[in-house]
Formats: sequence, C-alpha cells, structure tokens
Amino acid sequence: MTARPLLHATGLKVNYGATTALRSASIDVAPGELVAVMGASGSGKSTLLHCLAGLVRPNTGGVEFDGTDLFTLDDAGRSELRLRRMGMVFQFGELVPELSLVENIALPLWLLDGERKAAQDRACDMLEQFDIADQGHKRPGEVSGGQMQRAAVARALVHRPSVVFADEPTGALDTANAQIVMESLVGQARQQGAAVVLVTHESRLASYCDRDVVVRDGVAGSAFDTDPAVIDVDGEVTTQ
Amino acid sequence: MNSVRLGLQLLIRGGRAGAIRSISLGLGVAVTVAAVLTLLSAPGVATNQAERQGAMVPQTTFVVEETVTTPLWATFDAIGLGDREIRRLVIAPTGAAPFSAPAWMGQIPNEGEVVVSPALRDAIESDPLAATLFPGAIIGEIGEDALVAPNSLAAVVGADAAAFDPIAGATGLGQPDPAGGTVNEGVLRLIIAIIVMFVLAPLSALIATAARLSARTTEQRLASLRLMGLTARRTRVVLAVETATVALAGTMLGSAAWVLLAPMTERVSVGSVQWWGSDVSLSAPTIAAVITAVVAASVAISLVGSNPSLDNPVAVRRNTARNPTMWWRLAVLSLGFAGMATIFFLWESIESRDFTLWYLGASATIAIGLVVAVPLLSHIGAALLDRSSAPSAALAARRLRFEPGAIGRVISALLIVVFAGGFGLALSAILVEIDDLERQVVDVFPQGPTVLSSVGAVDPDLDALRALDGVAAAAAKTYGPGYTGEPILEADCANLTVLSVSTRASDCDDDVPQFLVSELIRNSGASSVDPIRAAGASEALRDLGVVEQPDVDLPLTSDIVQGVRRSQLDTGGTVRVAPDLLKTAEQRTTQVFFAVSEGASPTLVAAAVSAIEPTGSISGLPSIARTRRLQAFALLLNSAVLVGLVVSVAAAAMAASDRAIERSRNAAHLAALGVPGRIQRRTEALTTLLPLALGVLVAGSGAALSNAAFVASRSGFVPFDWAGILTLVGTGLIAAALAAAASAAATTTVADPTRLRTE
Repeated sequence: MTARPLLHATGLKVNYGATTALRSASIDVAPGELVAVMGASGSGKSTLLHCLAGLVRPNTGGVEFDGTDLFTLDDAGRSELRLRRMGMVFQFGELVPELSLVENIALPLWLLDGERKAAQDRACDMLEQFDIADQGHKRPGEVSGGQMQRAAVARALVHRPSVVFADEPTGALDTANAQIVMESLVGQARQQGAAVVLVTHESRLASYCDRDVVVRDGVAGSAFDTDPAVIDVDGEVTTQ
Repeated sequence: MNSVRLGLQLLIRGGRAGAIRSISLGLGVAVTVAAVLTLLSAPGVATNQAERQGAMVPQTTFVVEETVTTPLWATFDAIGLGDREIRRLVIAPTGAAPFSAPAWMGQIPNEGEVVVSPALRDAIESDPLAATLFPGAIIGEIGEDALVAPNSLAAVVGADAAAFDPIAGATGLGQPDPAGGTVNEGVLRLIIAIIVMFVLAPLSALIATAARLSARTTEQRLASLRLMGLTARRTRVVLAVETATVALAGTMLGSAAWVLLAPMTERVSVGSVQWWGSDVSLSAPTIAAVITAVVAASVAISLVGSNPSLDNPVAVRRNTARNPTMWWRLAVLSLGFAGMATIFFLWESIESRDFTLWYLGASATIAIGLVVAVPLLSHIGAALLDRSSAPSAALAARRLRFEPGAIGRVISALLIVVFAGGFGLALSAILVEIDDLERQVVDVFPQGPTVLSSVGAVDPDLDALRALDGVAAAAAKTYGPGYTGEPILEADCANLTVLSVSTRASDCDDDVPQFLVSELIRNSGASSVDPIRAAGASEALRDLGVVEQPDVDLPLTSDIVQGVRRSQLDTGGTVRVAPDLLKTAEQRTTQVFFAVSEGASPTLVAAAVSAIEPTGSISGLPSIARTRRLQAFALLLNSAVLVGLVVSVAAAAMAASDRAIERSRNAAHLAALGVPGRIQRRTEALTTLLPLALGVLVAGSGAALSNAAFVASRSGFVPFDWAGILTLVGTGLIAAALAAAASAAATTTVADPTRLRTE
C-alpha cells in the first residue's frame, strides 16, 4: 500500500431509517490495487461501495478520494468526479437500452470530451479488446447476458478511470461467462493501472484481487429490507 | 386461483405505484363519465328549453274570419334589454270564447297590468329601460314552465282588446317559438360535433394515459405471468379485471358526481345562457349505457396497449427495440389534407347539403391521420435531433427511434385539439359575425332625426305618442289586406305628419333625398347608405317601380328605417321607399313613424312608445339577445377549445412524466455513472418536446387549412383567422413546452441508491 491511498474511508456509518446498514466501516484502497469486498447478503457490501463512490452520504465518517473529501463536494461535483475518475459496473449491466453497445461504451468519453467520433472509435477498440466487436451495433436487449456485461465493463474502463467499482458484476452470469468478464475486468484494469473495488460473495471471484475485505453481519437479509430483524446489522469491516 | 381472483389480488396488492395508477384511472374515468353525461344531456336541455320557450307563444290563426270565434287576442315578440332578451306576450280576452289562464301565468292581466318573470321583476326595479317598457302594475310572476332558465326575462302584458289587429286572434297558448330558431339544425350539429371532438378526444387521451400509467411495469408484470405459463387469454382476463374494477369505481364516482351536481348547474351561466337544473337529466338506461361504454373503452385501451407483452413476453423482458416506423403512416394524414384542400379550392362545386359531410369527413380523416402519424413524427424528430452533436439530443434521438410509438399518448389529444381548433375558430367567428350583422340592423341609431317604425298596431293613438317626452313628431300609414300597393312611399321628414303614396316613380321630385331600396338590401349591415339624389334618382326609382325580387329576401321595414336614420337626413327631406317591398305590405298593417327629439334617448322613447302600443313590435328597439344566442354558442365553443387544451395538456404532462418516472431506474444508473442531471433533464425534455412541437405544427397546418376551407365556403363571410391560428399553434407549442418541462422535472437525476439494482 502506498503512503497515500487512492480511497480512504473511515468510520462509515449508514442508517436507512431505523435500519443500520453500515456501522463503523473503514477501508483504504491504494492506486492500482484490486480489492474484493466480501460478505453475506445484507451485510452492507453494496452500501459500502456506494459510499466509496460518493453515491450514499454516510451518517458519520468520511471518504477521501485522491485526497479530496468526497462529501465536501455537492452532488454535481461528485457526479463530475465519477464521470471523470471512476467507472461503475452493476450486476445487471444497466446499459442504456436505446443505445447500441458501441454507443453505450462511448457514452462516458463523449460526455466528457464532446467528441462523438473519437469516443466511438475508442469504444470500438474496447469492443475488440473485450471480444464483442461483432456485437457493437446491437442494442443491450439483443445480446447475451455475458456480452452485455462485458460491454458494461468496457464502459466502466473506456475513459481510463482511476478506480472501477463493480457490484456483483457476474452475479447474473454462468461460470464460464463470469470468468470471461472477470478476466476482462481485471486484465484491463491492471493494464490501465486502475484500482478495482469488487463487491462479491464468491471467494472464487475474490481470488482475482490483491486483497479481500470482509463485511460481517451475522443477520440474514438485505440492508434495504424494512424487516426489523436486520436492524442489528454489524457492518464491521475486517481485512484478511 | 382463477384469473378473476388473481386480477383482484394484483389490484389490491399493487403497492404505491399500483394505487397511484388506480386512483389516476379512476379519476380520469370519473371525469370522462361526468363530461359524457353532460354532453348527452345537452340535447335534452335544448328540448326542454324549447318546450318552455313555446309555452308563451300564441296559437294565432292569421285568418281574420276565424278570429271571430277565438278566445284571445295575442301578439308575441322578443325585445332587447341591453344584451338580454325580453319575451313579451300581449294578450286580451276576446270574450267570444272562454279562456282560463294557464298555471304558469296564474291570472290574465288586464290593460295596465303585467305578469313578469322573477328576473324581469328584478330588472324593472333596477333598470329604467325595463321600467319604461313595462310601466303596468305587476300582478304576479310567470312560473318555471314558461321560462327557459332562472334568469329568463319574460312578461305577459294586458292590453285593450280594441288595439289588436284582426289577424291577432289566438286559439290558445303554446307552440314552437318562432323567435327561437336562430340556430339552424345543421349549424347545431356542427357545433355539437366540434365540442364533442374538443372534449372527448382529450378525455379519451386522459383515460388512455391513466389506463397505461406505469405501462412498462405493467408489461413486465404481464410478461412474467405469461412466462410463468399463463395463457394470453387468461392474462388478458387478469388485466381486464384489474382495469374494469377501477374503471367501474370511476364511473360510479363520475355518475354520482353528475347526478348530485347537475341540479346545481342552474347557478352557472355561459354568457347570458342559463338553464334549469331539473332540465339536466338522463334516463337510467342512458346512464347505464355510458357506464358500460366507458368501462369497455378503458378495458379495451389497456388490453390493446398491452398486446406486445402478451404476444411476445420474452421481448418485453429483454426490453428489445420495437418495429421501425413506416412512411405509410403519412397516408391517412395526406388523404385528409388532400380532402380539405379539395374543399378549399372546389367548395363552389360542392352541393351545400353535402358540404357538412365532406367537411366532417376530411376533418375526421386528418384527426385520425394525426394519431396514426405520431410514430413517424417521433422518427422525424429523431432525425432532426441526430443532427446535433449534443449528447442530450443524441440520447433523445435514440429514445425516439427506440420506441417511436411511445410518445403517442403524450401528443395525440393535443394534436387533435389544435387541429379541431381551426374549425372551432372559424365557426366561432362566423357565429359572432352573424350576431354583429343582425345587431347592426336592429341597433338604435343614436344620432340625427331618429325614425322608428311600429308595425302591426291598429289605429295607433298618435296623440298619446306625440305627447310622450322625447317624441318630436309621429305619423302613421295603414295598408289593408290584399293591398297591391303603389311603388313609392313618401314620408315628409319635416314633421312626419304627411305620408303619401305616389303612383308613378316619374312623379317623384328629384330635389329631395330618395332611397334605392335595393341598396338598402345589399347594404343592410353597412355603416352608411347614401341617399340617391337628383338626376339618378328618378331613373333608379323608375326601375324600382317595376323591379321583381328574384333572389333576395324582401327588406324588413327596419332595414328601410335604418337607412333613413343612417342617411342623416335633414328635417324637411322626403323619404321614398317602395311599400310593395315591405314584408308586411300584404297584410293589414299600420306603420307608425316618429321622430325623436334632439337629446332624448331613442331607446327610452322607443320603450315608451312600445308601452303605449304594446300590440305592435317596435323595429327600433334592439333584439340583441335573440342574436346573442349565437355568441353564447361561440363562447361555448371557445370554452370547449380551452377545456380541450387544458385536459390535453394535463394528459400530455401526465403521460410524459409517467414515462420519465418509468425510466427512473435507468436514469439512476446513468447518474451513478456520473451523467450530469442537466443532460438527463434535457434528454427527457427533448424526447417529449420535439415530436410534440412537430405535431403541433402539422396540426396547426391542418387547422389553418380547415379554417380557410370553412371560411371560403361561407363566401368570405369572415376573414381567414391568422391571429387565431397563430394563437392556437402558439398555445400548442406552450403546451408542448409544459409537457416537456413536466417530464424533465419528473426525471431522476441523482443516483438514488434505492433505485440501483443490487443483489
């Protein structure tokens, strides 16, 4: 770990109403480091990732990204930072259904630079690197789940972010496709020197990373449940 | 669990979104049912009003010999009080046969007595003109059965039996009111058709919007049922049960509201038009039929809209693109425009009785064509947006190409309203113009030596007239039945004591002002009719002496009198008109001319004359209210345009916002990527705005063509309404902007974690 981490989160506590999703969670992520955040369902993994990405403001604690306190920025500032320096991969891809794969991948670059042609050229390169060049003109609904997820990873990396946040990126895929997606994500991230924060509950996927972080809970259920049983979520983070 | 129970379960457990959808649909249906019931009750109100209106009208024989045995002398007319109409029945028992007063009259007034409506009683107490018109003692009030509305002004005036013309014998009271027929049936049909178009089209869109709220969610749910193994038929039953239950509740609410509120509408007035609450009624079978039809329509809309999810559930689950838009969608619209253009250029060749059919046919084709063409408008909008390099424009373009028909709910109703507005404006302008023209004819001319004419009085009491304040001079001329007439009537304006008839035009003195009656006919509404003087006059009058009147209606006496007044004759001049051109010339008729003193109010003087000679109708008194009835229709029409616009804007905003909300999950994920909120908002706004603005322009073109065709068919009766069309299009564009703003406001622009899909 370098002297100055890319991401530095301390004492994160997040409540959703009466439900505590995170309690006193702390984590550091170095530049180019691949970190797997593990834990059972409802343990608060996604909430932690959302905090690190500046999507959820913690009730207490803070997150520094490259020396900048994320939550001193307003929403527009954090959005700008995400668009410029971060990449996001969701479990179900969440590509824009109206756009083709190449347009989806080009979107962040295009929004950043305003150069549509250059963005699309770069997106085409990414399509080739992810071995889905022949699918570029298709829309998300017209390709397989694995292809869609590879496009989502390509979209997260196309603008050379400092960090990629991936929330169960292979959760909806079979083993073979999961392996392809993970290898694409890890390979490209390492090539670009981007850090990765990977949320998963599979140790097999965590093995792709440099380090594991376990979010413990001990109570079954989702952090978003309103079931009173999840009130006692622990949310303590330990490093293995 | 059978399909019906499943449908009910899903309805009850639909959560917050389901509740919002149900409430929206229920309210939309309720409003529609109330509006439909109101529209359907309108003809009944008109019929009831006609019956009430006819109650005061005497059954006159018009045969002198028969009046010997009739029980009543009676004359009926309508005179004006400001902008309002006073219906006046003047009666006297003949004594030849028994006559008892009808229940609504209570008792027969004697000479010097009057029975008035409650509204007229109030007017007499507050308005000097009303008090002058009806100076007699009020002995009772006219009942509801003879009053069109609570605000109706009506009077039964008692008179001297000797004052009536022998043809004024009446066998009784009660028959269709001749003064009520100012709007012919064809025009009424057009007005009702256009109001229906204005009100029903947007309301249908409102129902469609409400029935298809959260359409994507509903489709996903239905697709899940299909994928689970439910047949398409059973799935349709589930959906039908959900929709029908809510729609039924909505119809009950709407019907109940209508039944409760209808009687209260008698406190509402449109212009001066009012009605009795009890007249707003419908039979139970009609209400039941409306309820059934609205529920069926709601179910049909939701079923048709959900067909894709039932037929191809996999595609819905995967959210794949819809079919590309085809250019054939322009066909219907083109056909409608071609039809309207044909009417515009060839209206002279179209039989007048076929015109309505042609016009409504072309209008309906354009209206349907606008709806059919909506996906194409989306496509064209996408092509235009693609020219921009802005990300929001490109994103909007993709959305429009992806689901070109999705915008349909947003814009269809508004387009129909904007288009129909073109016709509404033309018709409205014509109605107002007719009113204005008629009012010009009967308006009291406020300047110069005013001459008024009283037609129908027998043996007028000239001394009493001359004794009235404000009357400078008075004269009378009587024509008997079978009168063939000499061609020229001369009136000496110096003192109006001499009325003489010349037998030959050549006997006329060319040195005095004379009138060419044909000029009066042609220029009855014009601001001035110049007298023909000197050299040209004799020849003109000579022609007049032998003239036949082939194509024009004979001029009313008031036309001539109006001309006299407008000529600004110096006193001492002689007016010559042809009495055989007077409508009344074939009957026994007495014309009374009187001049109003300088400075006196012609209206009040005429009212005083009318009070002295109640059995004659005073041409100089305005009967504005009768003609203002058309303006009331114009007001209704404009109100319908306004209601249509408001409802369609509400429907458009609702549908656009709903679409934005449906995309919220997608938008939340884009926000999580860092896509700025302003781009999301612009994208959403452009997605709504562009097709809608294009549609408004196309519909506005249709409105302009429709307006021009209708105006042309009326021989330039009113000019093409540029300002109105531009206002209509401008309003449509503002509405488009409002809908776009609503959708932009409803867009998710923050990465709300609750909308992000996690495991």
